Amino acid sequence: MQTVQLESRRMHTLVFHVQNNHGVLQRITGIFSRRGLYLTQFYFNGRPNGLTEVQVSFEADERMREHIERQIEKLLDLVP
Amino acid sequence: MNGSQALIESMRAQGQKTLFGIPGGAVLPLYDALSQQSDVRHVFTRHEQGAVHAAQGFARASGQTGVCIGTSGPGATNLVTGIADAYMDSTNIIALMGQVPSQLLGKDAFQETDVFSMTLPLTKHSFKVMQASQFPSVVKSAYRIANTGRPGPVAIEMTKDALTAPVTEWGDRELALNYYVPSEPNQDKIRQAALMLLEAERPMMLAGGGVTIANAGAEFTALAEALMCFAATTITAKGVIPGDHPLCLGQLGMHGRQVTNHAIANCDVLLAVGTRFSDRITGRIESFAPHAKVIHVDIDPSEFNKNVDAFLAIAADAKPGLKELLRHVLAAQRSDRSKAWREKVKELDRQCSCDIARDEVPIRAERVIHELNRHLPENAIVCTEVGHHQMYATHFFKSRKPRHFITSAGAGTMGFGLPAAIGAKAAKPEQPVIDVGSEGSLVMVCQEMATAVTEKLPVSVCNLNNGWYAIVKQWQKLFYDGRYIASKLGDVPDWVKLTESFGGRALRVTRPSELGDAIKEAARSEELFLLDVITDSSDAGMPLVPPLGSNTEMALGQSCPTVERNYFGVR
Ligand SMILES: Cc1ncc(C[n+]2csc(CCOP(=O)(O)OP(=O)(O)O)c2C)c(N)n1
Repeated sequence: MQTVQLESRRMHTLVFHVQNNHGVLQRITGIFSRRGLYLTQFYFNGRPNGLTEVQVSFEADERMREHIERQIEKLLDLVP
Repeated sequence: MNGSQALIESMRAQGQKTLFGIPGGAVLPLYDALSQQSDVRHVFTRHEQGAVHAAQGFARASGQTGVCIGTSGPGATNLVTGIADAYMDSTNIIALMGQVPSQLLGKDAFQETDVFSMTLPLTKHSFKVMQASQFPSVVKSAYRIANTGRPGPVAIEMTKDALTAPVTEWGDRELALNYYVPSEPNQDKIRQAALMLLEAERPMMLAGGGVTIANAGAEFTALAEALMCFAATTITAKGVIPGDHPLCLGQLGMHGRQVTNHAIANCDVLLAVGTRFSDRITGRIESFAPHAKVIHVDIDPSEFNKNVDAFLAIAADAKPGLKELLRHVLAAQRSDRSKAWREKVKELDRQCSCDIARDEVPIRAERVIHELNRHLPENAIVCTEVGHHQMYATHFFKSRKPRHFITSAGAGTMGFGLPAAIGAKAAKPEQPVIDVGSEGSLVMVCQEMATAVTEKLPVSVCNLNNGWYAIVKQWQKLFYDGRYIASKLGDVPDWVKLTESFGGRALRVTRPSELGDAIKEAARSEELFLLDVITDSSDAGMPLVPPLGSNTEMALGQSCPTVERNYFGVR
């Protein structure tokens, strides 16, 4: 997974790939909403059941960013 | 072969022998297929919540996957609490949820609820099956997900047409998913951890549910012995080191023992295995083990630095992790730098003992647990409901083996215990199973007594009947100036009559002296048996850390011993 740091110190963008299975989008957004975070940008591009690129941007401190990355790494739909 | 038969065949291939559930329109094809075979037993519960908790009890007692079934709509939504509970306690269950035929999806058809989406945040993974041919590979993948890495619940939503359509081609290849890949514990870190533990002046060990799940109780105990190190256990780890082992300090945290909380607060190295450091364990996080370098061993790296910062984080299954640590510790020269600490903790442990054999009437909760300690056979499986009785049981009951104490820990679901006991009995029919409960929780699931009787899964219930939501009463007393509301239950129902009406046997116990024989009878009983023990609703015997308070600032019940503070001379 690739992390891009934007100008704002607390703004993060994660770029990763998933398999476009049922519910994958909800699982990803749920990681954020559950923790009371807001997504500020979201990009999702793929085919049904196929490889899909995801980019998410959000504001969080370092500790939370790391925690979010660990959660994304656990997604069964992730294509590492 | 149709989808339903393929589903059953796929579960049978995984070794599944028991399912728990309730039928309904959307899953009737599955039930019809179940009726045509005898390899897999279906236990007919009386509420879907009973089915899912039974599946949890089955899984936690045996380690094998628990499976439950609910029909579309309300049947499946009734499973949701148990799925959430299993997620919190990392329990390997699979929930089969009915759904309307796929051509009706999104049409607000009868009993159409989007249970797939509902369960997404509560599962490790959820599948939506809309074609019969998907079953073999989905089921195989579901078992792998539920059981590998950090276990957890998997939900499978199945449209009715998927259950009825013919399976033309059998393909059971696992789906390509990001499964857990086991990794060997990092040897450098293990070596460093062993060294830290050997050189510590004030070492402590802490076991969480991960040690239970990994079946690593023997390794955990052996390591404690090799290090001569005291160990605390969370409530999902009860029994991984025998409760009466001289090195076992038992429960920590909110309702933990004073000595255990003090020891953790003063240790200099803390080895924590398979625990997520929940708030109920840590209390105010800043004052949790403030002097300790924490060595955190966990199979799930997302737990590292989540609640407690790790000095050393070792990603590993508890069993190989502990084995490797033990190997290094045994091979090392030891200088025994922790002797003084051990003496101090021992002294504190002595101070931290209260009289739990008290004779009052109504019977004190701790007396009931004391008698359970004395009279339950060692192989008895104890389940609990949720409330004060649960905290008394986790605090005072001495479990001697892992997987023999089953309680809803992370979710704290009232009504968990009775169905979990039924599930545990289905998994371990040769062992006595007893639910230590209380009437507030029990009345939420008392219909499962019918399951115990008709399905011939004879469990016992020890009902600490105190007429209140005793734990709510305590909080209202301590934190809301005794303004009691919605916590007094009164003396309905009559539990003896209720049990008898379900076809079980029951005995009312009002005096402490009657407890011993009654418990022995319950443990021996080959039919549903309830002890209605009339108990005191006070909190006199239980220490408590106020929510988000510091673990060393416990509010003491009247009969709690006072354990010296700052005994260790560490600030
Ligand atoms: C399903 C559910 N609803 C509400 C609660 C909140 N709650 C926690 S303990 C408790 C009372 C438990 O009463 P009882 O089972 O009689 O146990 P006691 O405290 O009397 O031992 C309540 C209402 C809960 N944990 N679970």
